[in-house]
Amino acid sequence: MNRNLLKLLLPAAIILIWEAVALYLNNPFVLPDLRAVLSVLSSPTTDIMGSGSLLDNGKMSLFRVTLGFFIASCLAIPLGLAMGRWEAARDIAGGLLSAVRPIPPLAWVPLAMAWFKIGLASMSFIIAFGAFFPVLLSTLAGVRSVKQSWLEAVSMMGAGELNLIRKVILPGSAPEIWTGMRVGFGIAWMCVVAAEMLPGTSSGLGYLIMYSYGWGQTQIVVAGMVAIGIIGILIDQLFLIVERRWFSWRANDR
Amino acid sequence: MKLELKGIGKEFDQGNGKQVSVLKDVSFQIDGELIVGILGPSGCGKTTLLRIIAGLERPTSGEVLLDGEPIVKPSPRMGMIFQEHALLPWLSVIENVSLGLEMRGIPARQRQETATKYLELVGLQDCASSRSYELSGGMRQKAAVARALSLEPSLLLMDEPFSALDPQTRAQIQADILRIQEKTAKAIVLVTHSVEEALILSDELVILSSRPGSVKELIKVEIERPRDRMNPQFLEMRETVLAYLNGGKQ
Repeated sequence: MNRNLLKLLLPAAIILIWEAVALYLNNPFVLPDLRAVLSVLSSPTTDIMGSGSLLDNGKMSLFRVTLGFFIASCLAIPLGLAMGRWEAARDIAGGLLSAVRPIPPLAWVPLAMAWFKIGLASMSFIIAFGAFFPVLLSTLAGVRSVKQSWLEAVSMMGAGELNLIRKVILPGSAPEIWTGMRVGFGIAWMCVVAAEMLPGTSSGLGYLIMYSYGWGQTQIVVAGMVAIGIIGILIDQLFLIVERRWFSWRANDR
Repeated sequence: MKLELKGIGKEFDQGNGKQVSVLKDVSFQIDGELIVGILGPSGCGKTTLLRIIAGLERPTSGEVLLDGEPIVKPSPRMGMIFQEHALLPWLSVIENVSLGLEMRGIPARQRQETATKYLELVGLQDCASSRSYELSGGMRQKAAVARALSLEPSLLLMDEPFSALDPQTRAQIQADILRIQEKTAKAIVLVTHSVEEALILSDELVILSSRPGSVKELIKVEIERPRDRMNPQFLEMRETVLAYLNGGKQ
């Protein structure tokens, strides 16, 4: 059997069951039918009850997640390189970081709101927390994967510490860092939607979902969820394309 | 080029507070553009000795002098060829070869020229844009040789560089090394566990005792080149060296 057909089998079955149950219940608040959801998705630029269009809210969420993710990467990558390379950095930062790591990003919401009020700053803070640890941990793993013989060969050329980091450690750990960024972006994307559901927000896909729920417009809720899923898949694919293009040496050098 | 080893000793901490002595009072010198083979039973510290010469490790006692200057850290005056090629897999072959030149601040055009020159010398000019993982084992080691030569060091250090190659490739690359040495007039220190390889290549042999390694014998190899493995003189020499290695001759 064709593998692509096989991949479509389960989603198609779920849609069919969904549609059957929706028709049977005939209650669009509990389960809207497919047509209602598709009609929302097919007009992504139409304003939805004064809360902006699907596209505008999607862009807003993407902007927030990118900002938070960027901040997280800018902190996590240099810190990870330093901790991977220097024992002292590991000793100084390691304990604190492993104590903070188990706290879920959303547990920071009250403090974030107290410090930054509701808005871009508090959301970026929460998103950055979500993305920070996957990027940090994979950077550490990346530095550890750099072969001693690479470092020695390049230091034989007279390279100092700075050149070793620039020419060996950073490019050598880049594939792992990239994988961590991919995972981190996924988590950040979940965080932004959750953060937008908090009271006081007035834009973003998370907000749109909560707002529509308040008005009993479940078909918009489902359409918003589908949009979140689609954007997530697209970004993940983008990460994968870059990975295959730039970091193919990783898989080959074994 | 003059390399002097003066009373090199090396002890490692075993972790339980006990020190284990790997090298003990190793002294010899190399004067001129010679190939010197270091032989010894496994575990005698020959690789450690080479790493100390390279400046990658510090001796516990004694010192290494290169043209009178003590070696305390890796120096581009020496090129090293590792057991494992150690090419950077994200760079092409020519980028690997010109990396040292780049860090030295040499302009791109000149880097390209120098790197190409050494790739031609080892016969890899057609693989300049390949990645290391696309090359065979022998070609990788040749690329590593070109990389070590690119900074024009006066001394090449080789740590069992051909041990992972099949016999045919190995014989061929040994011939290449002799040709390159003749052309570029480099001194070479070669660590090997193959008596035959040492005898094919070396002008002088340093034979180390078992752990802790110390110099057991210094031998001049005065067999005419090109050397034939079946030549009676070669075979006789081989017996002598093997006898030293097995602890027979004192």
